[in-house]
Amino acid sequence: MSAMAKTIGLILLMVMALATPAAPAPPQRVLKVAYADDVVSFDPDNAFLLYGLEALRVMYQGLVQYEPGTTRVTGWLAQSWSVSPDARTYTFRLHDGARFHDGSPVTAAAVMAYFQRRATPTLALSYFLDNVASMSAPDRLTFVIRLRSPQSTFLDRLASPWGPKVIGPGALVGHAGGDLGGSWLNEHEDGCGPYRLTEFSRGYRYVLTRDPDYWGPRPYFDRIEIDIVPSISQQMLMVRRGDLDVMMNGYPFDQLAHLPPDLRATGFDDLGEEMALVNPWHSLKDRKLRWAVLTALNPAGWLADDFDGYATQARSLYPKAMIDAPRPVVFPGDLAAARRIVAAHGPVHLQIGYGAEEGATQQRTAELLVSALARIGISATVMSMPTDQEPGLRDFPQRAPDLWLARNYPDAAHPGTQADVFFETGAPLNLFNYSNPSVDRLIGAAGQITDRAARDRAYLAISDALFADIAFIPLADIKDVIVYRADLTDLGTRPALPWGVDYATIRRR
Amino acid sequence: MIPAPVLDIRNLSVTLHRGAQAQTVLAGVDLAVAAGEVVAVLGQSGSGKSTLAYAVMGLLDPEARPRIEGSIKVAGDEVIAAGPGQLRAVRRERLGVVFQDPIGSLNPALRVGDQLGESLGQRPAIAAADWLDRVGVADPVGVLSAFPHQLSGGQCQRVMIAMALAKRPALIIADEPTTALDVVTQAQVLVLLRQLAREEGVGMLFITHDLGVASVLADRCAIMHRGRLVEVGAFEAVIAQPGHPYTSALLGARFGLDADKRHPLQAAGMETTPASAAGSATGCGFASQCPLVTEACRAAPPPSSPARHGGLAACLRTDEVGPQIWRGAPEVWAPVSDAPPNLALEMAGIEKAFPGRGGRRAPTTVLNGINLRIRRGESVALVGASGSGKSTLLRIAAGLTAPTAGDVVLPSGAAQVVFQDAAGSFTPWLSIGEQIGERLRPLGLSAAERRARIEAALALVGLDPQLARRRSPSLSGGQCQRAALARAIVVPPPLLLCDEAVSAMDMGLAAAVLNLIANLRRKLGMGVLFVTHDLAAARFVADRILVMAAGEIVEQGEAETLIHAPQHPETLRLLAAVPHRSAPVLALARS
Amino acid sequence: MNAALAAAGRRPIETTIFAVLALITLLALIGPLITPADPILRVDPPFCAPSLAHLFGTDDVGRDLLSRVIAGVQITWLLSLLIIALSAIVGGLIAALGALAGGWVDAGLDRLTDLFMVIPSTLIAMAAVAAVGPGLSHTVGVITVFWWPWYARIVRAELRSVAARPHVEAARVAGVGGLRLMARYMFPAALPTLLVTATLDVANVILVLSLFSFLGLGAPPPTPELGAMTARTLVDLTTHPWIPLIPALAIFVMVLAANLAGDALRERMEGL
Repeated sequence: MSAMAKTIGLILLMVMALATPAAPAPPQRVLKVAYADDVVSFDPDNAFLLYGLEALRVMYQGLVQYEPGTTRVTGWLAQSWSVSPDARTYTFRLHDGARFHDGSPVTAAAVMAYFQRRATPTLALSYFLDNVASMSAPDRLTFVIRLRSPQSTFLDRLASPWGPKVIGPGALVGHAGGDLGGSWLNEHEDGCGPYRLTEFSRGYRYVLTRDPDYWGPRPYFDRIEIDIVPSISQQMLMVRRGDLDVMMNGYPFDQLAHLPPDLRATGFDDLGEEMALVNPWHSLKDRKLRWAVLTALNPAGWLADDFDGYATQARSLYPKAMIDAPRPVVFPGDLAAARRIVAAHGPVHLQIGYGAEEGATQQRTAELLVSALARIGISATVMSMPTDQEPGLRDFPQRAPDLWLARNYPDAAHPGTQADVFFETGAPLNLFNYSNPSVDRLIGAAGQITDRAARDRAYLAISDALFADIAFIPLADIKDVIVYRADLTDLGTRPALPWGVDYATIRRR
Repeated sequence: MIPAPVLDIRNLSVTLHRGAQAQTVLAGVDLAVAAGEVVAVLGQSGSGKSTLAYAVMGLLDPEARPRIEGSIKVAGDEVIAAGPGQLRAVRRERLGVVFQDPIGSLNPALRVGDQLGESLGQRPAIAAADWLDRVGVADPVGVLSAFPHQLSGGQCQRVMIAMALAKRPALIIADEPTTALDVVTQAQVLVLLRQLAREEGVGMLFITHDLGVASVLADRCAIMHRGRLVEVGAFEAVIAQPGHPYTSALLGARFGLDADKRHPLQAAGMETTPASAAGSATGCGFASQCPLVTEACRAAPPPSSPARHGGLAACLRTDEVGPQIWRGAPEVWAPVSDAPPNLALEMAGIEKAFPGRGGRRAPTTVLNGINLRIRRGESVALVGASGSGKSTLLRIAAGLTAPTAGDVVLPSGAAQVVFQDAAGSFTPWLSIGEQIGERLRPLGLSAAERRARIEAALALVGLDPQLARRRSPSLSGGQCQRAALARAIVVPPPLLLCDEAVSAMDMGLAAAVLNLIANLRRKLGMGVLFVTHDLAAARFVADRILVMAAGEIVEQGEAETLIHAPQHPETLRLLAAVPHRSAPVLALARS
Repeated sequence: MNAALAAAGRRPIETTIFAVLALITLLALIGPLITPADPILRVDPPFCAPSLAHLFGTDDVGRDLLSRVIAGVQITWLLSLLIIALSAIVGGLIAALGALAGGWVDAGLDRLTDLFMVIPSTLIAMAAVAAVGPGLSHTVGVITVFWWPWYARIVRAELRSVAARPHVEAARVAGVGGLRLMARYMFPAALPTLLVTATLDVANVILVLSLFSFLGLGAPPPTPELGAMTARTLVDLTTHPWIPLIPALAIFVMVLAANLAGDALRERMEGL
């Protein structure tokens, strides 16, 4: 046989082999979901995810978690824990039998090794462990953390969706690289949760597959297929067609009343409150003008037109799920007086800004605010800014928008996490550098209170002070809406888990 | 029994619309053409002769919404209001057409053989080559495979004639078919047409403004003026004894090599008005220029009545028509200016070569060592066939092109130019008064002074000063050329350059303009350089004639001497090509 | 006057087109003065279907859609005309300058025109507007910067063909100098083509302007700009179709009218 014939024969053989379909697989239970944005990284210590949080919590597990539907902390990897009387030592008793996906067992030593990695200052979420003085693993299943000073938010931080999630030695040691496994962990995982990351195609699709060796209760779905679909309209089409099972975020509120019969929508309170931050450095220097603006922005005047009933007026500067204030803030109601102030002041033009990635929901709200301001004679325009420009707002307050619409999520369900994100001097989201020493003192004092009712009262006082200063304007508590196929149930939503369902509990009827 | 005419036009009237205006372009035309007969339709621009041809072809511009009345029968088939299918059949089988622009009338994308084949229908290619041979094409097989742009104008026109004849039509319409050709080719094509008409027995309707051209092949002639047929009859008879004052004026405005230089040419009755004003007059259209005019003439258009030459004439006083009606006191030339005869132009050793195309071909030499001197008050004619370089030499003198070698000196100042395309030399959106006044700008005159000078210049060239406000599209060709002259002389130049200034005009108009140029030369003491291919015009206008061929001056001399005793073969050729119904032309055609 | 009306009656389609064009321009000029409601104020609950109270219904914020569309027509139409006018002026001037100066100036300007035509203009323009910030004047300026080369090209071609014509030569012989020759004898020859091109171009500019707003550049909200209005409310197409459809329809009508007018104008010019 000639060389040519042999080559052709070989090629034909190869083609036939590739073209032969594989033996049919047993029917799998697949859940199809979609993200509108790509995931930055699946490293639980290094990224502030929103899309992807729910995937993270089924690949990895933390010591504690929030119970579904509540803000009560319950055990996870730790089956129990105790706090010392001086509130500085936390002792956790781990479950026996948990294993990482690399096969090694979950021991206190492994947990401690992970926590040490988490505390490395170069990692973005390391500040969760800022107050940790020392850790120890006295026996195989006991893990002890000693804090420098009492921290009432500590347990909530451990339960936070961005909180520590134990990474196995397979990654920390086996793939350490030079950066504590950072680059490997962007696209791979070594957790101990019910699902493993079996496919990572950046920008396109991720696939989680059920770990058959999982030590805990078996979840219903064998595969979770996560597609990246940037267009909300396309996601809507897909969910109607059945190409998506769940749409976790972004379904337009005004369309929810027109869902076809095979889809359902559920709204739950989450920790993201809609707020307006006031820029006092520019056009709103004048306190009387700020008061007029506050009067115009009273949500009672416009909220009914927005969110189609899935939002209620905010009662304080804390989300309802965090603190349900008994006495809501009261907006001034004298529109005529507001008009007079504006008329006396002369022509005012304000700019309302918001982050571009929130465009879909915020733009309509912003335009409603423009309309509300127009009623007292203030003209306003709306500006969306890319996220990476937000830090610039503090550097150039004169050029920054006069009002900033935001719906940000605190780290956990404890009001202290809201205060130290927004209200403290120098807080990361205190975009207009609001600084009030008495408020800082109140925040410091409130952080020490352990009794829940007293603590809430203290934090509410802070909210009242800020409202009186017209620095932060509470607008609305918007429900987190999930659209899903009617045959799904046990979604497992939690206030502290924005845009997410619990893959470990969700199942088809 | 008289055979039926191949073309029978009865009482044809055509009205065209331009925008909102309606305009009668033809009125009450009766004409018949028999098989084998050549009828020449003669008239100036605006007479309606071309419209007549288009009406017969059914090709009047639909945008103008033509209204046609009367009857046109081609070989017995009625053409007016015929359905499109019937019209197509007539055009395909009964009618052949030869247009004015030979290269433009052929399809540039098809080879000649394919286009000729369309006319021949199913007949084989041999027939095509035969036809080309019959029409006198030198290399029939080669031409068949060529594209139109590869052929000369004369060859293309022959191809068109072949195409027209090859389908054996009953009638051929030729619309100024030789105007775009040079004189020698023109003579050949005319003789060919006559010969073929006789041999094939087709009737021919030949449209032209040139009596000399018509004289070569016309059996009968039909004279048109302002949309009406004013005279029809046997050609020789009409020429000998015209029955209408207009025909007599046309005949009088001819000038040949024997025109009397002591007096201005007869140019009476030759005024044409622009198309928009034609056809709106009641009564005879010639009334405003007719020496025999009466009140009856102005009341209603005179009917056709038998004339002394055996045909018909539309004149109430047809028996009184003759050359004597135009003779008043003989016109005299203007007195010669007494400006000193300084040198106006000196050209020495002029050479001009155009660079070869694409760098590979050798440069084309257009002028090869020309010397020329002209004084003020002196008139020099540059004569030659197309391609001799005469126009290039004029452009060098005008400063529009630079010579490759040699010197051009204008010691008395810059020269002015009059171009062949009179209307084209004016910017259509500016008034002619303004354009004439451009030359006055550097003088720093006041607006009133400028206006006065412009009006004086217009009067000097015989135009109504009111026309200063008009724009060139609303003026006739003759008026435009006069205006161009006005522009040239509004500040009298030492030298006037005329580039084929009368070549595009019909004879009557040409006579008027030549008179004007000669008069202006005398009055203003200008030097004149007159470039033309027409020796008759050159002789009339110039003191000296220079004959050019292939970029060189082959003969020069005093005008009269050169005409009567030519030396160089080129001069002989040019002399013979002056259209005239005489032996030399026929001899040329046979050679 | 009668003759004009008679002429108009003879060409019904052309007359209709020009009438529509005149109507749009009229609306653009006086529209904002006659809107039934303030285009920015929320006047009634959002998503009201078209009714007698609100001929086009209310949009997703509760503003009267009719008023917004009228105001939007003003912005889109007048801005498009402005951009075209500026581009034609700049392009025409550059072409005239090149033709007047000749030589290396002409060659240089021609290469410059090439450069502007070749760069991915829409992308650069979007980047530029994103950098200097959205806003109507910025958008107009940036679009003009990449729109003029087209006109420069056209005018240059016309000027070159006119330069060879006999009447220009005759004028030169008569002593008409450079600037006056260009201004009075040559440039007017380019005007018919320029006019026709401009009319046909209006459609393009409207679409580009809408594209910019669609992408979030252009006028900042709450300014009613038809492209932005369509883009933002596309999600409501299946449930409240009038909200995105009516602004899109307004764009369509303007573009169609401009295109047809350009065609009619071109036919008339060709008859000249």
